[in-house]
Amino acid sequence: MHLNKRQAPMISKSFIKATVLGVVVLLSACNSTPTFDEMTVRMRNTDEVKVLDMRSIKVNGLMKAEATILVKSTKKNITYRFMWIDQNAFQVYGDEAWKPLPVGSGQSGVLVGIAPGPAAVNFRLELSSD
Amino acid sequence: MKTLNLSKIKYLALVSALLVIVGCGSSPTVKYADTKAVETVNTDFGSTDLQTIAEKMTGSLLESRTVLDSREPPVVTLYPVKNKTSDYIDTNAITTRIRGRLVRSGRVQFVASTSEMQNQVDELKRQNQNGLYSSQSQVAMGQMTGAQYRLEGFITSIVKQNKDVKDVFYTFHLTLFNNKTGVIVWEDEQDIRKTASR
Repeated sequence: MHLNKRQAPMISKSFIKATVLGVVVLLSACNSTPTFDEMTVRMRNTDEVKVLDMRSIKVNGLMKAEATILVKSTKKNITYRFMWIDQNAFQVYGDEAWKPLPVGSGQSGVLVGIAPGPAAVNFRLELSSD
Repeated sequence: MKTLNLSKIKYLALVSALLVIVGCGSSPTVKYADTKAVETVNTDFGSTDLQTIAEKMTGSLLESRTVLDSREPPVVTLYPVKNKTSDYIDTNAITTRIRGRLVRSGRVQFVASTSEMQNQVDELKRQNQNGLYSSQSQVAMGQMTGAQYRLEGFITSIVKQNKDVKDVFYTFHLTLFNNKTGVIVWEDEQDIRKTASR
């Protein structure tokens, strides 16, 4: 195959551009992990509850989610539940029952949820109040 | 005086009749509510307690070594949960809900419980004793799977009350026994505290 020497630097430049673009796309994809705030769905005013930490693990093929929260006040009845999401970003297993927060005023605690089945690969924490 | 009394009586009778008519005529407002919402009508055992207990107990059991270490889903049978509270609680609703969640997880298998056994036996007899079924489709006797484990439990409550406050503390306790050895392989409890105040 005959190579045109004048075209060689042009090919290299476009190759570098494409490589840089690819790296940027990859890096931005790596940074797309949702924050705690993005993983918390607040219905009505639930500012009394601050989410300090969230984590998840697969236990026997079932997703276990934990959220550490700080409850500033219990003047309002605040409730929570976990929403389970499959690999296609669809909600699975329907809505869980709302549960009252098991944490008193001024205290922190851990909310724990285990997905009903193996299809769940992600979760959201839902908070609501009266 | 007599006239006044009579007029009073007539007036009272009229008011009473009106009240009865109005009372009979007005029907309560009915609407569908969120079945998942937190229910706080009173301190009695309610739907939120039932759903909370079922979720927590299921999660705990699915994390137990018995379930985690089993190659095949362990086979369990359900025993009635004893109600040791002074209230009427349908404990069967709690255990059935727990069983449903465990079965749907695919990590635990259940065989017919003691209360469901009669139907199972009746069906086996029906297929094997009346000569109506072909031998190919007939379910053979003596092929039932014995449970490796049994799930037992109870629910208790402590009630404290004065003229302004009522405090009820429910404890739901569940135990998993190994049927072969009698060893308790898992046990957990879920507490619920409900307070009503004027």
